[in-house]
Amino acid sequence: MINFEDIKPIIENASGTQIDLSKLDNKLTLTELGLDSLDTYTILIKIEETYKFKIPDEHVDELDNIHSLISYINEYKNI
Amino acid sequence: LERFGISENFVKDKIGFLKTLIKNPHEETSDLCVNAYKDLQHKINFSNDDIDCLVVCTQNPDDFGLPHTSAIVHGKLGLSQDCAAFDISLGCSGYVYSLSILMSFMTMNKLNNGILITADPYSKIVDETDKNTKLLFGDAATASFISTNKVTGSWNFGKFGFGSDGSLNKAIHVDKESRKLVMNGRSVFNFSATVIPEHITKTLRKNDLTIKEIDKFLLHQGSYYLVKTIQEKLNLPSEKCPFDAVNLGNTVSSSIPLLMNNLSPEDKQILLCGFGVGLSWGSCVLLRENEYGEE
Repeated sequence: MINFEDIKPIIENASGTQIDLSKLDNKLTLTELGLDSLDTYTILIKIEETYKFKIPDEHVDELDNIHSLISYINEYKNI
Repeated sequence: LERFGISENFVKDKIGFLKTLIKNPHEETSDLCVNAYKDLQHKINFSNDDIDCLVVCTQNPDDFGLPHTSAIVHGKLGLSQDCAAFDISLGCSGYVYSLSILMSFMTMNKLNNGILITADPYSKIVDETDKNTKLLFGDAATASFISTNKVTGSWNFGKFGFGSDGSLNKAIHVDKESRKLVMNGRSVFNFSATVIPEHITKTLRKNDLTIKEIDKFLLHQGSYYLVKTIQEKLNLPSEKCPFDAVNLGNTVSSSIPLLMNNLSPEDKQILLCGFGVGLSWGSCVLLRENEYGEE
């Protein structure tokens, strides 16, 4: 099972804007964390590369906070 | 920006275009082509009779594309009846493809001089209410002089590489009903951030060159964030990978030749890479011809 600590570096590295990780709250939406659509696309690519699966466009809207990202990865990951 | 719910920072730090060029509504694609041609003629001084071949790269031709825009440009410029003229229908990969097509055509048919014009005014198809495209695209036209003779200070061709992924043809397309541009931002971003860095690496390998040996990487100016993402993926020094379209917008097949206009004489070995609509991509290395006629 992957957890918050596993995807924290992905969020940190992918974010083009500076976000305060001390305030990272699983339930805040990615937008509320200061991430925009391009940051989100970057995070999704990194997740796809790291966990070896494809995230279809129709699932993207529901992946709008850290909690949903973690659950989704645990459901679909191939490693 | 308020209308689209987009912040100024997003425009500045991500999209990167503070201004996008829009042609006058009464101007046709062929008018932009004629202006680009005349501007080039003024700069490098050639006669219309010197031109054996005229190519226009566009997916937004005059009217409905029949006749081909290059024929209209040929007529407006009064070029010779011995001058071949044809269009190439490609988007952001168009400049690289067209260079190869035109040079091959001229070499095969023993022609001396050709003009490659890029002109793809997206203002004809952009939906004013669509935030995915309205803040991105700009209108522009460029003209390049292509010769099979060696010309001091010009560029010689290295090896080219091309690719396509037709399964993603809807990623950027014109909707049948509305006749407006539709873009899937995520598809285009994913493709640019994953396929393109690998493709550039392949083209470097094909040319037996390393990143260090290339003076400038002229990437299609899709957006600031796209260029920066590819640059970071390849670990390119930022000064080798210019983003210079802040006041232009994404000018489709014109973005690379516009960047070439800003090169310095010290830039002797460059890599061009265009990618987009299709999805389609192409890259090549160009080497500056020195004053002794050696590569």
